Amino acid sequence: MNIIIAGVGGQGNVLASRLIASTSIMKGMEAKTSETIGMAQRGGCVASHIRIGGQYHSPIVPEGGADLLIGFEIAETARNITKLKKGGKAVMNMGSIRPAGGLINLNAYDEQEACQFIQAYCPDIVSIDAFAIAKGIGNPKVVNIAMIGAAVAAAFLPFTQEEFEIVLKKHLPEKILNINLQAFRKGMSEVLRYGGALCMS
Amino acid sequence: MENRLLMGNEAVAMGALEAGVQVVTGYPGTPSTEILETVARERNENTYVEWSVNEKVAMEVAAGAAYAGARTLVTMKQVGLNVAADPLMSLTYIGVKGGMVVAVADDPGPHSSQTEQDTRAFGKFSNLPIFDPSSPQEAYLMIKKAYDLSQEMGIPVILRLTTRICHSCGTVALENNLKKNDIEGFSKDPRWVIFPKLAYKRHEWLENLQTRLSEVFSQSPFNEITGKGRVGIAASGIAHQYVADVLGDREDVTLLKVGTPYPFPQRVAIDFLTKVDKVLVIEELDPVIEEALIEASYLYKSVPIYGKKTNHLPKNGEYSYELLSQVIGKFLDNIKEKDERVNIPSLPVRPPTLCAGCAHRASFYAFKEALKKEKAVFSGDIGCYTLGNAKPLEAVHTCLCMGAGITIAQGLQHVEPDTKNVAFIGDSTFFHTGIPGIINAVYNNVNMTVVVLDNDTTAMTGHQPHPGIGVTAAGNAAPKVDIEAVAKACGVQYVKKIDPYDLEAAIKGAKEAVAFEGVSMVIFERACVVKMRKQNDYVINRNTCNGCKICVNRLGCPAIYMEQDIPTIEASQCKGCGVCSQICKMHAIEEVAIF
Repeated sequence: MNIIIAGVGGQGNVLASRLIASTSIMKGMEAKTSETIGMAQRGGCVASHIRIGGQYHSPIVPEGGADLLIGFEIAETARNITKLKKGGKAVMNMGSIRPAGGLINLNAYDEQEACQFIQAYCPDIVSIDAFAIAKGIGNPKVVNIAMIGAAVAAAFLPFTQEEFEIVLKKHLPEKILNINLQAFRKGMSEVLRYGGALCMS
Repeated sequence: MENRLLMGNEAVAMGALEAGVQVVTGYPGTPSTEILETVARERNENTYVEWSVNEKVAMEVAAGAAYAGARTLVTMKQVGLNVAADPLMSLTYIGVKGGMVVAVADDPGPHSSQTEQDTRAFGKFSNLPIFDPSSPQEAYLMIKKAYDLSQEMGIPVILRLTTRICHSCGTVALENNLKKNDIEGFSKDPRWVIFPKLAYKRHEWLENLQTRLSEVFSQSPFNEITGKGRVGIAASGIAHQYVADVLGDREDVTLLKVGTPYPFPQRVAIDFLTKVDKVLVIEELDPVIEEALIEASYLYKSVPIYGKKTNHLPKNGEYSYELLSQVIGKFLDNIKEKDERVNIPSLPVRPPTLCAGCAHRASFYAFKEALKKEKAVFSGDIGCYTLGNAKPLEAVHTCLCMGAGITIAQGLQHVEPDTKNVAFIGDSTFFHTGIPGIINAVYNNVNMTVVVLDNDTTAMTGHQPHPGIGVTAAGNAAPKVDIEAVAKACGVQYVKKIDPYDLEAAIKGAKEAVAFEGVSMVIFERACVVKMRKQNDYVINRNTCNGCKICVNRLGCPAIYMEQDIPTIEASQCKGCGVCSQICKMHAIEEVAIF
């Protein structure tokens, strides 16, 4: 299985990919991860690649080879949607991160158009408002874990809630474990509330 | 045996620790940094670890320890090896008693480097054996073998990594068998003192060793021939993994995987060439394997070799699955892949910028303001602050290599003495190679200003300590080396410490320093914003703001964006530095408490 996590530097892509890979390894599968980073920089584009299974050699998912795309915000989901294979699935956070700085011409970007493009390319998509979940929990940094929750609830990942929670407990420091567990479960319940259906406005 | 998800750099560190490494030195540099950080985290009391001031120093400290019989590891990025080239080239002749591994990370792309140089060529240049892993698992196994080889042959061994190996994660089977080494200690012997006569003798020994190493590598499991068929592909490193993915189950190709590119495993080459009628060589950067196979083909069995020299593959940049799928498809089956690219709607760009609230922005702004009516050139250096070249600051006019800002400025000054030359350098870079340039300027009476951007850390590589911080890589307290005292001791007559967040003082200090005859120095002290706790927020009062956009057009802080022609501050981005409020002529940017 090939997975891409698309987001912006600082959103916790790397941790999310390591946790997914570690859960897979715990289940006896082989896993690899890698990142493609614009220029290692806060606020830059980050795409994390995860490959689960022993048949792969390189840690990088070929273009058009992903089974699942987890998009941490709208523009980065659109940017990476062509990494999906035909019939691939996606989970998206229905929110956007403003590109840094007033010098950038925002008019060049039409969010509505991007959403339509994503939907047309990948009909099998579920979405949650992970920013709202994170805000509700009181920590903007748990967006990544809420998104994994959504993917687990949609049965897009090769492990269960219980299995992922074991890994969360093993890898996260005590101090932040609880809010991440909350985020994970909230991400799950948000998807289940929509019955796993597309909930794009 | 324990299966763990490890980053390539972590795998290198774990392998070194299991091999019983006792002294680990290095200088931070992407993508190599996490090797030493992992050692610092995972080591036991038998392993000493340090961030050295630069790679030359790191190499020499590790060499000294290896003279006494310790197993040592020195880590750096590829351009760091240029700095450490002097000790390395001589060390090759002198040799070591304990096993010594030089882990060097190359950066095809390049993602975060000034060059795309290939350390395998350095192996050939220095006559040192090279291991070139293609996965974290292999990196882990190779460094253990590298220690045994180094100790057996009495020379350092290079472990050459690339970004994709360093920074990708994979399942690594940890053997957890810790090797314990008893150190014999340093014994006085003429072999440790290099003289021309000794160098001559050792050169002969070294040249003979190359044949022996080639023999050893010809038996190494890291060089492997798989598949069958009269068409051959030779590949290495991450490129081998792409090739393996492209070939899949296909068995009509004879695949040579090269894990030890220098000295080239000659018998493996001959074996490979006898099996095939033509060969495609796939390796990132220099045609090292390609040249070795061309040589073997000339000496033993003539086979056409295709690769970079025949323009089948690019000589620069990173390879990818997509590229190799095309090249291999064409080479094997004469298939041209259809381009099925989809048109993606236009999306926002996210270019690299200095962080919101970064003190470097204020420092550059202050000097730009101070010199706006004068002819001035700002020489930059290697660090986050190289991003000062981006719009709208455009305050870095040169950048070459570590420490070169100060010295390039001197060259410019000799030719155009009517120009104000200002050299910007970070605190870690100051210690790395900045100091000799300062002494040179003082000694040669150069009229210039050195600006030390002191953010109390090595920021760009992820906040490593350095000699000015008061803490070591192991987390122990250390004496702080004071930059101001160093500059004064070097003979700099004008030195001033300023907080760059105080723009008025910063501009005044900049003017004074530039007006000073001779070498002057401004030390802008302000901790890296990433480590700063936000104290307050700033908002732009939409009633008083006249929309002049000075804050946007001159500072370029990523926290400020335009909303209906009025600049607005994104609270989640703003660090509360207050620099923008100081340049607003309308006093429209107001400080507010955080709720």
